[in-house]
Amino acid sequence: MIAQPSEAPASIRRVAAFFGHRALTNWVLIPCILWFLGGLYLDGWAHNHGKVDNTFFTPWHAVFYSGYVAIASMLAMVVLMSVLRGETWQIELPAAYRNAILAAPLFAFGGVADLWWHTTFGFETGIEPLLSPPHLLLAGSMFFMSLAVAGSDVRLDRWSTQIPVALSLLAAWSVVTFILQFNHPYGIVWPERGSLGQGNVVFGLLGIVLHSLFACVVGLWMLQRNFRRGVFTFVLVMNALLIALMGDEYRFGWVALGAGILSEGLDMLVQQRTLVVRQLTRAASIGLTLTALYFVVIAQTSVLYWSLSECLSAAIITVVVCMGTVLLMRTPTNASS
Amino acid sequence: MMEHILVAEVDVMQRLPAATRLQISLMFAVALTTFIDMASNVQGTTGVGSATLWHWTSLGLMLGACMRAPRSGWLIGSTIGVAALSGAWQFLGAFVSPSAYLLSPPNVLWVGVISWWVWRNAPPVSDSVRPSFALLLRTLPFVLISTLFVGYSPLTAVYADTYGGGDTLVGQGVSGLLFFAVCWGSVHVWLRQQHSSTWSFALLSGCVALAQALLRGEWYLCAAFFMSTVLADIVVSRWPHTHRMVIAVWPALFCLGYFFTLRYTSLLAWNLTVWGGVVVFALGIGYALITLAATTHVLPEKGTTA
Repeated sequence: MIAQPSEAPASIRRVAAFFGHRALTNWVLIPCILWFLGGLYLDGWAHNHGKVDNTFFTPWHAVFYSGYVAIASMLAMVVLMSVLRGETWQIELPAAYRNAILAAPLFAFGGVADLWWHTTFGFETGIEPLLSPPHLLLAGSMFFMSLAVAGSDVRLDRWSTQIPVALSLLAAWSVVTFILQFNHPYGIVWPERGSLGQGNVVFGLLGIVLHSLFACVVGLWMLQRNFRRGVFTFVLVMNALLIALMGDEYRFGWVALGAGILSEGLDMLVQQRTLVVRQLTRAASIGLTLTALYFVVIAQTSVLYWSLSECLSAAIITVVVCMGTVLLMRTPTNASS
Repeated sequence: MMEHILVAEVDVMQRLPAATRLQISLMFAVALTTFIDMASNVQGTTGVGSATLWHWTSLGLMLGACMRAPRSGWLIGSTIGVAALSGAWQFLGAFVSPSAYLLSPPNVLWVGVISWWVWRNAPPVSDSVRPSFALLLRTLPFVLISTLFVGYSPLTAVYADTYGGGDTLVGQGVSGLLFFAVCWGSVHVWLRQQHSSTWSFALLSGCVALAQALLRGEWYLCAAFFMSTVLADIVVSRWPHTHRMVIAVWPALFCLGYFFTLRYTSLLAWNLTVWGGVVVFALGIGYALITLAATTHVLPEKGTTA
């Protein structure tokens, strides 16, 4: 039986009150989320660099699963403290917290499902680990746990509240990037591969468009919430470096840095305009700079096999898709602005 | 029923001013010639990668349309700009292959100009229940834009029926399917947001599926895509309050239908891990779309009723 708030010892009531302060709870959750994310990328790095064998018991898994235990424990603590404050957690906790709380046992279920899958269908090879349904269940539940802080209902008017939210967003986005690394332009650099002819362009363009679109959605989300200058650039660069870790393609960190600075710089020029103009500017600038700088970095560090026509087409299509996202996301309220 | 619809359509057409009727005819003509131009490049019937007679015909037709339309300065400018760019590209020999032609800046810009022109000048969709020529006109941009991506669409570039090729081909096939699910899932959200006709999703997909089938002859797969949208429209028309759930489930339904069709009409070379993963991924895409739509409040509470 759970003690009522008035019956609980003073120390427990103080902890419960602490967890009632959303901004402080975010600061408790975010190290666990980063630990969890670090474990994921460490494991991915180990797989891509031949540092694993056929055993489950690796140091990389230790970091990853201990990260899960940490975040799951903290989420359980959030629920417990909410109950101790006399709240109905299913109603009074923010939706993002509730999603994360539901995702935590789902992750554990995904682990069991994965065991069954391996027993029944054997171990995956090549691209299959990124696509197996149990692994996607694990990634999906990890995504929601990572997003807990980003979706919490805190006022984003100070650095101290913006930092955990930005880090949580970075973690959630990086989970998506990780699982889609088979078509990430920083993972497989198609424009510098001479073989496959036109197939090379077909393979490469889709990844460029898709991942620029994700960056655009993140950028628009941060713009709408008035994040301080530099935060978006930081998130963009960190995501690029994380995926670069998979194939040692650190040069693309410069692409993200340039795109972030240019995009935020352009936003300064149009900050007095309506929200939709700022959104369109950000979408266009992210699409254009991510694509253009990508080709520039390849041309400077390696050999660019794509023709000018193909590079231009990639940039045009990316910009159109990014700007189209803004138009799709326009609500009836801001559509008239 | 069909006769009633046709008579009603003819009535609507006859009530329009002659200038509007001519402009609508020109819209169809420009879109059709552009489609034939791209299709002939894809099928290599007019010399790979060349800017064809069809291309120049569509530019000429557009200029003819501009002459009759008021305030068409931007359209004349864009058409002449695209013509100059096409000429320069042809002169530089940059049209080296069908894919280089389809996604070349002149062609992408040209499709963009036509799409914008048709979209802005198509008559409003007055009847919210019955598919009309106005709605049909609005399918043209979708058909043209889908044709640009013929090398990426799972309806025209099928990877799931090929053994070998390694992870690269599987990755490309998966990417194509997921991108297709994202694009059409977004179109689905947009259609529901616009309170458009109950059967608009099926009509739109039907036109695109027909065009894609004509390009590469994958009739069964195109039919599977069409049928998945018909099913979505049937459910929404019968139970309007389920439209959010239908949006969330449709990408996975499409992927399941796609693999099922491949399995029974041709060959499904991907194993359960890969195709099962794609279906789960598609469910995630549907969930993300519906969450995004809910966050930005773009969806009405109920779908359109028939």
